[in-house]
Amino acid sequence: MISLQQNQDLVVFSDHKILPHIDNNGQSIYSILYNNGTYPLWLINKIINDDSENKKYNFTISSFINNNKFMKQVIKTSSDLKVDFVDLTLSLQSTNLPTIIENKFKHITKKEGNVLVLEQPELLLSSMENLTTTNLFQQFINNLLLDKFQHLIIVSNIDFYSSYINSFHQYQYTSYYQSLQYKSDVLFNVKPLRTGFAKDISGTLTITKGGADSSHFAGKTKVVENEYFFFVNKDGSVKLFY
Amino acid sequence: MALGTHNSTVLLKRAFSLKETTPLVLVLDTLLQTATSSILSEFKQNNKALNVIYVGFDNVNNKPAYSDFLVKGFAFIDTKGKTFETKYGKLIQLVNGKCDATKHNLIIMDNINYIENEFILDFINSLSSVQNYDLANSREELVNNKTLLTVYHKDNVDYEKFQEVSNASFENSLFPNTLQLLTASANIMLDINPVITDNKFVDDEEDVDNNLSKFHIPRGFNNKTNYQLELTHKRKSGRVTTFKFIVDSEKHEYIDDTKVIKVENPFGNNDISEFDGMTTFNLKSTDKQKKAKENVELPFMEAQQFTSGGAIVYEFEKDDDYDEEDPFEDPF
Repeated sequence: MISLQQNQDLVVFSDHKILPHIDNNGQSIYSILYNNGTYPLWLINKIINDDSENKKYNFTISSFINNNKFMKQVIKTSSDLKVDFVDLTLSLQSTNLPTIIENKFKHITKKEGNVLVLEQPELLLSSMENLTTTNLFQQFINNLLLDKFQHLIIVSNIDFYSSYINSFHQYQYTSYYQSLQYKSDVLFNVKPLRTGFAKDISGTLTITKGGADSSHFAGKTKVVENEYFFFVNKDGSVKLFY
Repeated sequence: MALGTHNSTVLLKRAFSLKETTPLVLVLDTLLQTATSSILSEFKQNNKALNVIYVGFDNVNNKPAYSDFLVKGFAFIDTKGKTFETKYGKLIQLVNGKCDATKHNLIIMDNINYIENEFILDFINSLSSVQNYDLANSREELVNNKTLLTVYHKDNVDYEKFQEVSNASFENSLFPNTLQLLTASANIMLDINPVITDNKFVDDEEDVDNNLSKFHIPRGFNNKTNYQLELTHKRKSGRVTTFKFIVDSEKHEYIDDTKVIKVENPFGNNDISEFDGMTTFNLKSTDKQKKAKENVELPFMEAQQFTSGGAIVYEFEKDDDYDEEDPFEDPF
């Protein structure tokens, strides 16, 4: 069955690009949201590798949940791409957000063309005492965008989202995900199959326009909203189809 | 007297060009229809002479096309500050410095949820119109060339009490929440929502809620060209009027939607087109017939004029017997 389906290219913008083209002072935020069981490593690989002009960008991969050893194994890039790994797993013990940036991203001096893949920064909401979403964005994520990176790809697990809030932490998590929607230019929602399991489909990937103002994108490029089925083969290769 | 529908669009345009005086313009948005990507562009569009200062918290580096200045709000806040002055003093000073004395200034605060509940009123007061004390004439002068606009995300209103760690005392106190403070201050409120019925990717509102409860955002939202706007305007007299519009922010068109929302007869709006071809009667009436119908003066109209008061007039007739005792009188 699956062999009959035409493999589709991942398209984010109307000019068939995946990474955005914006002027030197601009920024962009992508959010990749997934549920347990659909950890979207393949999508991160696809975004980094499949863009036709990816050699213009400097990539940094940082994760709060997986260490460098693991990330270096699973993020497979061609040798001519500039990819750097910054391990943030131990930063969960930090008590001060600005020091994380100072210590871990000291080597980055200018932001032009820098792309950061940031995995699960929301874990800081649990690990750091009394941290609010407001402070997480103001003191950490916004500061990364201010002088270190131009493009941010935030990978978050939305199983902590709850539409009924009963505690301080639940409020922080929920408003964190909502803030992502308000700030993002593009949202990637990786969902498991509703029926549970199928031999030839692993889940669906929905690309939607985020809530941010889109007037900063060069030309008249627009986000193409789309929904793909995806299937992860045993060898790790991924097929996208309608 | 109800305002005619043609006045509502005029009022909306006056609101957009900031001709109506208000200390605060409040914009309410949701996840599915954000203000940044839609309605905020209408102000500059309707009044090109405005000096728009965008104070970005949600947005760090991108200066929106509809603004003249971008102030990176979060970078000028002293997070260790305990009082309003120490925490936000620098930001307020910076924003006020960007104001142009020769133009009308619009300060867009996107979004107000970043300011703590206890500081909201201070914040509004320090950024809306300033009172300058005029020494020469020894009187207070209201400098009226500034309008503050705040964006408020209305997703978590019910749960706002969980916003801060020290909410234990707040929860018990009767201090109003942020939305209540803002609605009390604003004379113009613009509430935007997506038009769910026009979205082909979702079935109905229930379907949308279902998706949102798992934080799966459906396609087709954050639509710039077709969204609903509810304008609430408070006058000095205290009268509050509300209008609904369908707005297209690309063509900058506003269509009054109030008529459709207000259902005048219990069978829906007077639309009988659904009976087409189902009856042998002609249920329709032409415009001419409708006009004629409206002009007919009904006999009871005269009776509605209460000029003579409501006296009961009883005339004694010859067969009536006059009774001294009242049969319904209280026996005690």
